Amino acid sequence: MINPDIFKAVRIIKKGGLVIYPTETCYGVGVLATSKVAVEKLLKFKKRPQGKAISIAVSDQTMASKYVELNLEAKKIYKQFLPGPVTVISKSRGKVCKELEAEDGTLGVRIPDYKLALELIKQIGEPITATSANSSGKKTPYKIDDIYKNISKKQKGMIDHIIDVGELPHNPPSTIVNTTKHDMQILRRGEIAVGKSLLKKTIKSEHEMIEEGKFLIRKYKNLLNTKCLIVMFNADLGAGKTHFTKGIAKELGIKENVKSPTYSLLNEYQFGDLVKGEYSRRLIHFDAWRLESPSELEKLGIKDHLRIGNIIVVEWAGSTIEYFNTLRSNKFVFAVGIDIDYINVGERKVKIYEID
Amino acid sequence: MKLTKKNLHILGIDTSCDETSAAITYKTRVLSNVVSSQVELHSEFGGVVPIIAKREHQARIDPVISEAFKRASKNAGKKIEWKTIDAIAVTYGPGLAIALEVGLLKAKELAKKYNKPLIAVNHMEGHLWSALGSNSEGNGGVDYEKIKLPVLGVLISGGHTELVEVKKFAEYKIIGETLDDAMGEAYDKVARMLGLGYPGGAVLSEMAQKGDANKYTFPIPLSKQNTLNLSFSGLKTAIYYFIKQTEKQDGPLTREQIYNIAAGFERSAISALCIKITMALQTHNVKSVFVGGGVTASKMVRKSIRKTCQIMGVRCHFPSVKYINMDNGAMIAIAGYLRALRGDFASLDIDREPRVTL
Repeated sequence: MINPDIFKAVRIIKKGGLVIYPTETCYGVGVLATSKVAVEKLLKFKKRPQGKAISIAVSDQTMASKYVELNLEAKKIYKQFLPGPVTVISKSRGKVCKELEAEDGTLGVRIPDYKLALELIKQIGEPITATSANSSGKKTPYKIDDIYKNISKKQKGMIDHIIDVGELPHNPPSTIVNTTKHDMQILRRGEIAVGKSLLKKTIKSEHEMIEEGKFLIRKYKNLLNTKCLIVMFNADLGAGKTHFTKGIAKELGIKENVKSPTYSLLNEYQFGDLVKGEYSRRLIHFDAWRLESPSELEKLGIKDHLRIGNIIVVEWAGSTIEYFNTLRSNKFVFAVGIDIDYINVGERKVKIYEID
Repeated sequence: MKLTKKNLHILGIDTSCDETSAAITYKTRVLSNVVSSQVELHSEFGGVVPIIAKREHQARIDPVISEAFKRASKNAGKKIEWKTIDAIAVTYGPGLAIALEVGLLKAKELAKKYNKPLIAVNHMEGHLWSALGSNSEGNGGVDYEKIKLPVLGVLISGGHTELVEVKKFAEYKIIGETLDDAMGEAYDKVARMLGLGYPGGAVLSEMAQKGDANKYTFPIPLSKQNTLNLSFSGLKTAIYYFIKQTEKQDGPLTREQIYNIAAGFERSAISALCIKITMALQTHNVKSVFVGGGVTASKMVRKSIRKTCQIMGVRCHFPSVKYINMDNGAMIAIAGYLRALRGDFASLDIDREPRVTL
């Protein structure tokens, strides 16, 4: 038996109306995701700025695949977690109202784990918006009263229908996962010109990986009197990049423990000018894994470290390769590439080469 | 400078990495705690700050602070304004230099403008005392007057993993730390290997609950060595290799396999941590354990640490207020409060220290 309330809600949403509906996380506000008029009304209701993405709710994966491109990673998550409190970001097919998409053309999709909501979307036959029914920045609404207490008379007037099922369990908001960053970050051949090869070797332990880092510095010690060295890794998760960098630091006389820069983005270590005996030089250990866009590099001040005698080690250079290629046009910059490939659990193939 | 009263209102500011955050506390009560990624920001001139890229602290700091005042007033049921504020606490490190700078400059500017004392707080000190925070009604949180020293701080987040001995307040000694990846980072990276998107640490932890942790055995890094240091990169590598090998033999991972790998990973990672906690409690005279940082969001992590401490007969405390386990301003204000009570204020020419330790 279909709840009669749903029939009314379906009719209203199809006509471009705004409906408050329950989900497993909180009360949401639904409008037709393909209707510009309806979405504009929603933005006014939410007092939400344009240019900030709003997710959509679909009834199943088939419906989702009509509106976004589902890659393998996304399909895996759909299979494991949906319906459920997870919002999956994928590349939009441009079939919903533009205002719902993020600036980079992605769109968040969820399948609520709530029968009534699923039935509603199924009856409508296309996605509705899935955003909590509060004004932006206000309390998560678990009951209708939570919404009413925090909105103006004008906002109240914009609500066309409410499916009120009483107070919902106080579940946290949905977790958002981005599936569009896949494979973006490994340095790809063709984007850099490989020059003279320095070394090809099979490494059998973490200790040996550290030794290779030391070798690199010994090799270029003299060059560092006249150039800034950029070291770019081309290696997957867990290949041994941090250990290689530990070796670089050790050879430079840095006593601090070199840790992964993934979260800090950029770790800075000072070391001495071996000739002048001053601690004026820097090892910059940088990780682009978490960068949202290459434009962020400028803000991180990488350029300030482009000084003779400094060493800049870059992990996950892939998405930022263009930026580093422009840096390399500076005649004081010298770049080296390091490929690390898995052979098996204890062995890696390491290749060190100059980048032209 | 010395403040004569004890009932202090403090504005706390943290801009150490991704989040721009400001909070107002009354003693250890969190009256407001605004974290930029959790709110929409309307700046004072009525416009909206677009969150195009993360880490745009400069554009967000003013609206975040004014939102902190607005929410504090609402929660306290009375007007909280500049004259209510007794001191400003700010993170000076560790963190990203250009990010720290924004918060520190703002705090100095406000301290000068409103003639308030400045308190310099180490970001990790904030995590360490985050369990003291109670909500705006005063519920939850540990009573700071009842802290039993010496304390063992267990700080586990995306960027840090540290065991800290606190013999006296504000005298910290790192007795163990990760040699490579932080614990939260390991969660996110293994999630990525399993194809769970980014950041997938929280999802991974959920999945682990459905899996059988005994199905696959992964190494427990440094478990047999006589050190309090931790390491997660070897575990990460072991799992990467295991996934590759399994996919080569049986094709793409099944749902069951993903659950079991997640469970196996979590068990190893947590065991690695709990073995070191036990070791620290055996070798150091500790009366209570304070746990802080984003990884405390994992139920399994909380449960295991609680059990470890129970076996060792030591009380342990976790952050209980919303957002206070993340990078946030409230924990900075609370650590700042403890410093203010001791008259420990900073001069206005204090500089950021991106790589400072506790």
